[in-house]
Amino acid sequence: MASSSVTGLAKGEIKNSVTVRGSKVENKSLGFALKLTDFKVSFYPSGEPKDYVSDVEVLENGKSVLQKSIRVNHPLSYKGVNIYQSSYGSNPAFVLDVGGERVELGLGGVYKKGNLHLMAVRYEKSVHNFGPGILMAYVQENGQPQTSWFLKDVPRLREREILGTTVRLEDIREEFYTGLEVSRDPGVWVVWFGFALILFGLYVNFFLYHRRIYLVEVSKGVLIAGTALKNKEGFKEEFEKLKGRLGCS
Amino acid sequence: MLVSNEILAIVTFLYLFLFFGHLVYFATKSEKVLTFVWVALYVTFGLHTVGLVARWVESYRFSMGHAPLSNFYESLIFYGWCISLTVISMKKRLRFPLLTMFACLIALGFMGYASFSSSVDKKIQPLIPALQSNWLHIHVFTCFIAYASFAVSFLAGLFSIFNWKRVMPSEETLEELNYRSVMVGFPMLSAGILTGAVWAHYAWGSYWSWDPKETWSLITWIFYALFLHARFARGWKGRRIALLSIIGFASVIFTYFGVNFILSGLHSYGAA
Repeated sequence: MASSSVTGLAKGEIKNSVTVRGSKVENKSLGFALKLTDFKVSFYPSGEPKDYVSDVEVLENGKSVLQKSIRVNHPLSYKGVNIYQSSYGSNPAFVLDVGGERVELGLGGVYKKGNLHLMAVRYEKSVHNFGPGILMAYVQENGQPQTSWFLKDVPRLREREILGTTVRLEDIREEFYTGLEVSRDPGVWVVWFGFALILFGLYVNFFLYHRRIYLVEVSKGVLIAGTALKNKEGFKEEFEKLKGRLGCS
Repeated sequence: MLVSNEILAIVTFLYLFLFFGHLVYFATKSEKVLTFVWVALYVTFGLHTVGLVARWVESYRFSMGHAPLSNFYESLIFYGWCISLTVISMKKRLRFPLLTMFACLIALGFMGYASFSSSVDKKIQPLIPALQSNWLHIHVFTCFIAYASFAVSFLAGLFSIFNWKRVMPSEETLEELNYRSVMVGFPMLSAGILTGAVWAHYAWGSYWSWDPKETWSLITWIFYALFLHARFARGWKGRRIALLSIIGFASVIFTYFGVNFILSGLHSYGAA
């Protein structure tokens, strides 16, 4: 049975099963693990996409057995599983400076150090027209949760002191992730054979035709006659040629 | 400015010239004029081919290097080329000037639209990742030969409906022409759809995704299958088969243009 699903992988992520949505949703094991080592998107100067490349590693029992770049039109085939470059997307990644330490957080990511608990809970591309910002949640000294916005383009709102530590939003980057279509289709050769059969059948049906040619001995010589069910014009031509070769009138 | 665009603009004028050449033939009924028209058609087709090859070569200058089969402008030019190719290859069996005249008119329409409409982008564009495949050539070629054959079938249907006196070939010749063109078009469309399916399998992992172009090409395919069935199993002839070939071509045109302009999907390269 053919089955397929689309799965997203971020750089460094490893997956050994995919969620298949059919009549029921189920988790299917791949039989191996797939690791995304790198994902690159390149564009033409006009802004059109040029190439999507997912560099992947196939892992068996934690050991790398195969490395390949999956591109559109160049899928990876391993143990009956085909993996195609299907889509891509991006998630924001926040680069923070927490008391001199460089920290990278994704959306929902948590940073803990001592009694300092930080979590990036919300991201907006534009906060009241002041540019991109993230909403950070932290725990106050009295144990109460508190949130505040960090805006990248507003210097005054870029850094804040939380529990005595200076937290500064350095940058907001876009982390690309790849969308891979994973499918198992052991019957594909039957389909290809069917395609070939259709084309062959059309050829036979349209370009080959039955014809009957009669040669009857009569008193004055030989009578030649012919009949065809299809392609009558073509047969007429062929018949005339045959007559010519036999030297008939 | 691209050299190929210049050549193809000249080719457009040559099709216009060919159309008038045919009119001169119908006015004078001189065989000499007809011979001249045929020579001019060969020259036009030759230059058309040169234009396509020049565009292919020029695409390397922009370090893209792909066959001119990738955007709407290129598809219009290629459609015109396929129509010329079809009438030229049919010449041996079915030559009558009314067909070549209208074929030139259709080619002129596509070429003129491609060359002189401001809404058609004439630049050589790079290939998006999905199109970077050798399946592109065979898929587009088979589809457009099918489209061109169906255009000829449409003309045969049109002639048989209007039945112009004096310039018309016999009803049998028209039926033969109609049947022969569908006989080429139908297997070619089948091959086009199937190569597209194989390509989609390698590009996206599924051979059929009910994209509007796929759906409409299937509708067109079923329609021409019915056409052949009506002819063979039901013995339809004359007006009825002529009407079918006209409706069938409307479906082809919708598959080609309508899907690009109205419905968007995997094949909407023509959309502005």
